[in-house]
Amino acid sequence: MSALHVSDLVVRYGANRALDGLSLEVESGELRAVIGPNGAGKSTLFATIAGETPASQGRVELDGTDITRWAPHLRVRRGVARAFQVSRIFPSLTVRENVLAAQLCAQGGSRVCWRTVLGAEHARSEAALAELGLAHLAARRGETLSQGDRKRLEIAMALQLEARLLLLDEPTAGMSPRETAQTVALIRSLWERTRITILLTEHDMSVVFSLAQRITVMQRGRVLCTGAPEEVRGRHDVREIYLGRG
Amino acid sequence: MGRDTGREGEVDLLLPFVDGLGQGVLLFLIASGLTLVYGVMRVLNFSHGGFFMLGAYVTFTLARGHALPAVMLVGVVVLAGMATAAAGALTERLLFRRLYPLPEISSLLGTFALLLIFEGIGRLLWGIAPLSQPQSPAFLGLIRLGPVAIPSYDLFLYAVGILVVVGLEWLVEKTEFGRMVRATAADRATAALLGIDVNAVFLAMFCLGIFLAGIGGGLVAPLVGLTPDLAVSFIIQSFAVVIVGGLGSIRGTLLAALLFGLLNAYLVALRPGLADFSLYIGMGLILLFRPQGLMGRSGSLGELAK
Amino acid sequence: MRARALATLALAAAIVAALLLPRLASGAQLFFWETVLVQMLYALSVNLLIGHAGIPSFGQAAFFGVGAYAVGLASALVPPPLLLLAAMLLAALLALAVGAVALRTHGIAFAMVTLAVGQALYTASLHIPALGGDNGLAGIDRGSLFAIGLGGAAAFWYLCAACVGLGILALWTVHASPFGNLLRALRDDPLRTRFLGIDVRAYRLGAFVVAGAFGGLAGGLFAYANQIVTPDALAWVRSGDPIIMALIGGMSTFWGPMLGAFVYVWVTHAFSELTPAWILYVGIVFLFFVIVLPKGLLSLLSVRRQRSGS
Ligand SMILES: Nc1ncnc2c1ncn2[C@@H]1O[C@H](COP(=O)(O)OP(=O)(O)O)[C@@H](O)[C@H]1O
Ligand SMILES: [Mg+2]
Repeated sequence: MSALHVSDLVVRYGANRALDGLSLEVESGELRAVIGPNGAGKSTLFATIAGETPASQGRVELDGTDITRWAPHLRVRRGVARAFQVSRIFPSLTVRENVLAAQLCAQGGSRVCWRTVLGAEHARSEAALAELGLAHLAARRGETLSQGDRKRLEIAMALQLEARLLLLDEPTAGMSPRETAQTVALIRSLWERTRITILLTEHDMSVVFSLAQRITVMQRGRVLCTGAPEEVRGRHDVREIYLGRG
Repeated sequence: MGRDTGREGEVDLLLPFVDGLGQGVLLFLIASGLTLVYGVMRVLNFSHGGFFMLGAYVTFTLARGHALPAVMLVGVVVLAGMATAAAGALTERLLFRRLYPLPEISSLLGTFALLLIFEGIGRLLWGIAPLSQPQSPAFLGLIRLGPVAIPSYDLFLYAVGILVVVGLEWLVEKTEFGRMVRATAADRATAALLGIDVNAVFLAMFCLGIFLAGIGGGLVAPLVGLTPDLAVSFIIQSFAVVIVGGLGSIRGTLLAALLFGLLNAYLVALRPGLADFSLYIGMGLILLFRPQGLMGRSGSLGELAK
Repeated sequence: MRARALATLALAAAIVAALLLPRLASGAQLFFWETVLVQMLYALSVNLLIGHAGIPSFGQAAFFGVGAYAVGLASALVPPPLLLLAAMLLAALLALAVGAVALRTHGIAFAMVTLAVGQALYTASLHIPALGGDNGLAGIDRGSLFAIGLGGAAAFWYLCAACVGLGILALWTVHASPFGNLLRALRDDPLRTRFLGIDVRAYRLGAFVVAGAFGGLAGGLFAYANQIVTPDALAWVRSGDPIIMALIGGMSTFWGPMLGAFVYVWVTHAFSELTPAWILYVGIVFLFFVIVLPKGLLSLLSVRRQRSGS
């Protein structure tokens, strides 16, 4: 059974169709990249899967369950985690508190208000910080971080959710080459360790081709083709509309 | 209110209408300034009520508490509006400049502080005992229009209302200045890049809004006892109006102001016990059934919790 | 380590001071301190919303007033601790109802809606005969606890201090709880929080109810302390006061509002004896904090500490 099955999805912004009957299937444990020119609808696709943007038509299925009408927080509890294209972290909280917040959310969205945060909970977030190489930043406020560190912190937070499907919208955007290389290594090791299903978009083709098992090419709200990296690289129409003109 | 009690029931349902429209116009005068300032500067101005109070007191002071001929009263009200606008210009330069960059809630708190200051100034200069500005004799009469006799002051208020609505629409939609205002409201950084003097636009819009508040105060002066807490009682009403109308929308504000005026007048006539709650009833109903406000845009009720 | 020792020391000092105060202070001074305590609790309840959860409520007086009127109505029938619990419960229920509708809006619109709710209740208090209209309800009976009469100044002081102490402890626990941590996260970025799996509206409602309950407790104590409750308890300034206090002390901290409450009560007390236009000076002070010192008095302390630390 596929981990994610999107069928015939339509999202309208006025007369403009950001998604125009898009269908997509991702196998469990797969690392899939979605590419396509700017405005192809990649971010909209992610927002629709996560429940931020409602679809006017179509279905989203997660492990065989229809989640099309589910509220975002319920999807998260079902195992969908995401990092945004423009990374979103908690600016006035420290890095440590950011991870702690994600950790608390992972406990099923703890509404416990009659006890203080436990030592064990703190210890777990420290461990997560160390694993992602953020320990040296633990006491810094979120708003003081560089773009690259923000992105990594956001991935770290998404990981706390113990998700089954991770949506990464341009995870290396705004990073220096060194940060990009680090992040690519991070995503790969994470994927190899957990075998979580990952769906990512990326404009940096070297990242896409070094990470993805399979690649889906989007154009104007539809899927143009899906295939292994070599296959996609070789395709004429893809070169033309996307890699193209060179 | 309470006029013409001796008439037959058929006409009695028209009277609250006449009265309610007049109240609606007054509400609109205050609330429109609030909505203009919010629409362009993104500051919801608590102290707007303070300027309104100032307009009422200045009218009283200029008239020296005498009943003036209609023309003179109008002149005095306009003068009071201008004096209030001048005070507005000063506060804009000294204070509001510093509030624009703050988050909406902080700037709201800043204007709240200013409202307290206004109330204090009112107490210092005019005391806490109610003062009363007599109505001009010419405005006490009734004018017969077909089946209804309309108080001449209400008729005058309608005229002012129409003048202001048409004037504002023309200014914002048709003039070069209006174009600059709309550009600034949409995106002040881009407007500045296009060569628009954003600070001047802010100052002008602020003065315009405060001028309307001052005139509103002057026009209310003959109708109520003047106390420093006018500042507060009217700001809460106008907040309800702009929220229900949809923050930043002039037409929505007009519609909401008239609705509130009518609701209040009809409740006074039919269910006097509920009249003091007309504001809250209206707001509650809108909130339940049309949370985006009558002509809601972003920032109004409709923008649900993100 | 040092912080913990300091906190223990401060707590011990507060308890000793509370125990000794009735022996040292006159009746009027005791009343002053009761007012300070009540306002501290009230300001903390509002700051849970505005400072920590980022919910700009301008209608907290509704809950304060409901707590106060509950005590005013039933003081002859129910002993104080039970009645205070009932006041909290009533305020919490009201907050649940108000929040369920008002939280459909956010930001400035929410501020205005809550302001209107407070004003609606204020107007109602003027109109409902059972609430005594303008004159309110006088002659509130402080009753007794375990056969100890609370009519005496010292006995009531101990009750008041104990209730406020427990209230502060409860609010601190909420602040430091998983729920409290997530509230601050939600204030920072509601969208991010939602995509970490949080039902943002439910959390906001939870915060609103908790704040309402403790606002109600503060109102109930206020009624007992004054032995009279008037529509003043519901007036919109009552909603503004605790916000000013929280801002003066520091909204981003837990303890700031308590410091702010002390400063505010003290300053208004001093000024209102001098001039009827005291509100003018309150406004000026408030404005100063909004523009010059938006992080409040406590931020001065932490800046000093950071400087001397590095
Ligand atoms: N909030 C929005 N309002 C209107 N149009 C939007 C909005 N978000 C995206 N779009 C439009 O939808 C299309 C797809 O955008 P997006 O999903 O961001 O593309 P990508 O991430 O592939 O660059 C674009 O044409 C864009 O202009
Ligand atoms: Mg995108």
